[in-house]
Amino acid sequence: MTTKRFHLDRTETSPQIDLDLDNGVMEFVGRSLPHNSEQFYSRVYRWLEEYLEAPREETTVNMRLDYLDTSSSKHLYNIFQKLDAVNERGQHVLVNWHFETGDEEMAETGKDYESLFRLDFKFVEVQDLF
Amino acid sequence: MADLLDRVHDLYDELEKHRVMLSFKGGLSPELITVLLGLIERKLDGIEPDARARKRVFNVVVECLQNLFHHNGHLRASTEGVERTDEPHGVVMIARTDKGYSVLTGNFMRGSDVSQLKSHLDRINSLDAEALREWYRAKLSDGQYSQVGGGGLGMIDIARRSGGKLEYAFVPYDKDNAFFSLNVNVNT
Repeated sequence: MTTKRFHLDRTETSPQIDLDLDNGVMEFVGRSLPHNSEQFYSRVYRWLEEYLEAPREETTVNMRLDYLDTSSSKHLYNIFQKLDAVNERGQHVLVNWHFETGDEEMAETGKDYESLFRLDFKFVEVQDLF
Repeated sequence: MADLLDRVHDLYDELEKHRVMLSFKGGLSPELITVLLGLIERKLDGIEPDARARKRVFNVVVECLQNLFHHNGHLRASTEGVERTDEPHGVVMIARTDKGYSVLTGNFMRGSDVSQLKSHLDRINSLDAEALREWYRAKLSDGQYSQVGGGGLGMIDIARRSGGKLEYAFVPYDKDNAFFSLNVNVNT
């Protein structure tokens, strides 16, 4: 059986995004300041909706972002909101929020999201994000 | 000819005196904004040893350029007052200061929009860091999107990163239009 996954390459203005539907792992790597964030994230919403039709018992989200503009931050909010609904149904969602050593602002950005949902956030300080 | 050459020298002196790292005036496109961000990021890499400071300055520049692009009257000064432009039009300047960096932007806007923007800026300036965080979180989760997607978060984010007060001016230009200038100091 081939595994089902979605993938977007990292660019100068948008993150690499992977969604492994079989293993329930979603990953964001890079920075997010696409000019048209609506258009960029609409693809991610479609994937996520497909996954959320039959989510795994355990979903892991790995965030390895070094920069997020405010327009992207609204879309990340929407993504966490969809995951929060799954979590509320009893299927556990874990968010590993990675940030570079000393980057308190990026940690704070993660805390902003943590404060708005009942999702399980784990903060991971790393030397290199990617 | 000599006059023009003198002006180049004056321009050089002026940019040097104000420790300008990058300045641009003209039409803006998404591609150009990406180029300007790349330039400023490279310059910051060369002169600012503190990674956190580099990032805060970069954050402010990103949001300022996006504001300049999206909240823009599409107007430029001409001999007859202002004229319509196809692309958003404005000016941006990033300079060193004794305490850090200064990010300046300017553009024409409709005079009728001034009071709304002014009250937004005044409200931001009246809040401390904790209150700004609360407001940011409330806005993040309110489900509202402006037509450009940020949903009013940009200016609050700029103030949070800057850590200081936003300095601004509105200069009436003609009966319909005003020039908006914004200075964001990022102290490092």
